[in-house]
Amino acid sequence: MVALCQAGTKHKHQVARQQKFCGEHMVKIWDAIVRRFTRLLIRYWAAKEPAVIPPRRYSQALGDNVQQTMNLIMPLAHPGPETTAKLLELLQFRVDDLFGGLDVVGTVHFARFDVIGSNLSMISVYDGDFETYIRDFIAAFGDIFDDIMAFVKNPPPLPVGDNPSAFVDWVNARDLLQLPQDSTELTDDLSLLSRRLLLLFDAKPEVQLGVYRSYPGFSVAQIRQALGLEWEQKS
Amino acid sequence: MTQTNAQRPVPSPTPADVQGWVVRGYNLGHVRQVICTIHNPEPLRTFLGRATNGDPSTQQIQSGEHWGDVKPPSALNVAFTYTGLAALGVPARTLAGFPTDFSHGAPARAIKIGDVGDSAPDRWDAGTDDIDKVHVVWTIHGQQSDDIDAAWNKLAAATGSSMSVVASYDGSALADNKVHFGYVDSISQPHIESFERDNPAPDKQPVAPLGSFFLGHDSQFEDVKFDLPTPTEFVGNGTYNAFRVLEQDVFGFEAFLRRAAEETGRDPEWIAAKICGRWRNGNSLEQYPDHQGEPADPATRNDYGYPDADGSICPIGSHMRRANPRDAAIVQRAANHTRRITRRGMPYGPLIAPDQEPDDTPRGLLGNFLCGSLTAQFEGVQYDWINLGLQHPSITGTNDVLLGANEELTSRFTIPMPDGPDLVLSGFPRFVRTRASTYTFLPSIPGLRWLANAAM
Ligand code: HEM
Repeated sequence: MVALCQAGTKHKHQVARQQKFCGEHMVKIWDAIVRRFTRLLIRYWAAKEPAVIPPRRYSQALGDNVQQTMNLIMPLAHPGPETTAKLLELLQFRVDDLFGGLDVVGTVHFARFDVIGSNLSMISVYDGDFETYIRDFIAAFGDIFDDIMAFVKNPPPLPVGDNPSAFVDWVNARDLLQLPQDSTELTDDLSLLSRRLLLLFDAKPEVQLGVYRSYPGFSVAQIRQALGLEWEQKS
Repeated sequence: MTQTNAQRPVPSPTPADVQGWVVRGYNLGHVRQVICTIHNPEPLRTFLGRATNGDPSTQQIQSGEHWGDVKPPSALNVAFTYTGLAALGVPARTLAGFPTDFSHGAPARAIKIGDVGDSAPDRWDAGTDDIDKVHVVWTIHGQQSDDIDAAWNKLAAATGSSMSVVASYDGSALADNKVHFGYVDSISQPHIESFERDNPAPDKQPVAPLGSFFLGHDSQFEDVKFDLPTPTEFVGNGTYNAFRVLEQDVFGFEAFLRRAAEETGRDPEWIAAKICGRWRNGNSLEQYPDHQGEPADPATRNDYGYPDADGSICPIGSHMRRANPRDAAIVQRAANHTRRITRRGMPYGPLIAPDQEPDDTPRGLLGNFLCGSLTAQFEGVQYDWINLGLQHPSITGTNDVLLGANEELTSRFTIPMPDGPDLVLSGFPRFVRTRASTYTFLPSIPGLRWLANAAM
């Protein structure tokens, strides 16, 4: 009886485990089906109405126009340790020109180059207009960009100094998607929002999801001035 | 059409090669600017061919060659939007080489440059925000308005139903070259390399490199040339123009001057000078720091810089010092002298009399801002310097009283004083409202011939 009972208990336990296992399995399978279906649905929607990529944001509010972010992701032509080593050598060799150039641009809070996966990225925080920023850095160190482009897949027309507008467009296309603060701005019809977002992320999968600013609304020069650092002659 | 080599160099332009308006003000007292839609390119191309054939007995596009002592009754110039070039049949591969600012067109750039609220494209004059209609802008200067009528009638007869008018604007010079708000204007202009100085007001600012006004040459930025679509014989030596119809709230501006004068215990003329950078009689604050004096000799009144780093003579946030900081230290360290624009403006609407009761008559400026790059020059000034004040930490976030996209709740303008605390003016609205805006391309004279003759 006891044994039976135990056996019975064991049996029940096993059944429960098996059921749980089956249940989890089913859920996973079900999730996969839903994911598959959603992708198909997105494909279908995308074919019917191509995504509208929102234009770069400008705002009357000062705080929205300083401390802008750029996340430029440039797929490398031949990613791998040799390319990374060569890029390191190039950037270290030209570091004075690069930093001097960024000083001259004058509106840059931070800028850094990273290799992430098979991409070279330039990530920066700057004040004002994106196009002016890119054009100013072409003027300040466009030749370094010409050298960097040797490592990048599908480079823009070179030299960048002869094709500044084309270079701005090229950078814009490789900058992570930036969303409006309020994503409801993406559509007039709120019931369409999630569809719009899905289509958008389908068309432009690399996205900046959000940014925190500890001292919003201040330009580089205002911060430097407040700290007693020179802002006009920073060398 | 023959596709030419992208590398084919663009020859340095002679005055005869460029539209005259870019290199000199005509000093003809009246202007008409007409925005048209192109319905049929052929008659228009035929007209352009005739108007650039050098035969003085037919109506010609005015080049930069000087007319000598005898002024013509009128002078005709022409500019096209991106959609206008497409309507003329310019091939897609040429169009694809134009920069994005121009190809997207003025309405798409509205939010960036502060054309919002009352100045937003959907509030512009009917049709002017529709890039599918805004194709060509004709500009006719004339000695008398009759001369303009005559020139326009000739043009209209020659082009017939191939075009229709979207909007037409007439402007006339006011006495002493003044603009509404009462200031003498059109004093400071860049001097373009290899061209005669455009006005009798020399200064010590560097000469503007050819490429900052004509495509195909070295620009004002080291090692930068602005994008040059092909073929170069069409696009080379062309210039961009932001043509803006800017309505001015003259009564509101005068009322603000009086209020600010009362609040600060100063003279309204002093407030007007601090807001602009010049006294209303045209004298600069740098040369006349305390009183306006008699109107200075035109040959000397532009020859100044900004030695007052704190803006205690000419406020850093004044209209002129924002629009061109000249030799003053700025945040964008290499940007001094790089955003220069040639301004061709003519007021519209009648002058107001002193103490006149407010009326509803529209008054403003037909403003044309010519440059080699709309983003680098016109928008760089309008967005970065006028509206954002990014060039100096003490004005970032404050307003250009005269031109800014000001909001009453937040607007602020600081007058630094040599001895004592700053004076701060606040609570002023926007005094200049955009009623129309177009981004156009003025081809060179050979460029217009190409438009007429190329097999497209
Ligand atoms: C209704 C609108 C405007 C009015 C009433 C106005 C008025 C004036 C006046 C009175 C001057 C001084 C005269 C001179 O030195 O030539 C001036 C200079 C200037 N303005 Fe404006 N302006 C207007 C719009 C604009 C716009 C839209 C821009 C460009 C975005 C602009 C850019 C400039 C520049 C670059 C100067 C010369 C500064 C220098 O070289 O020192 N203005 N304006």
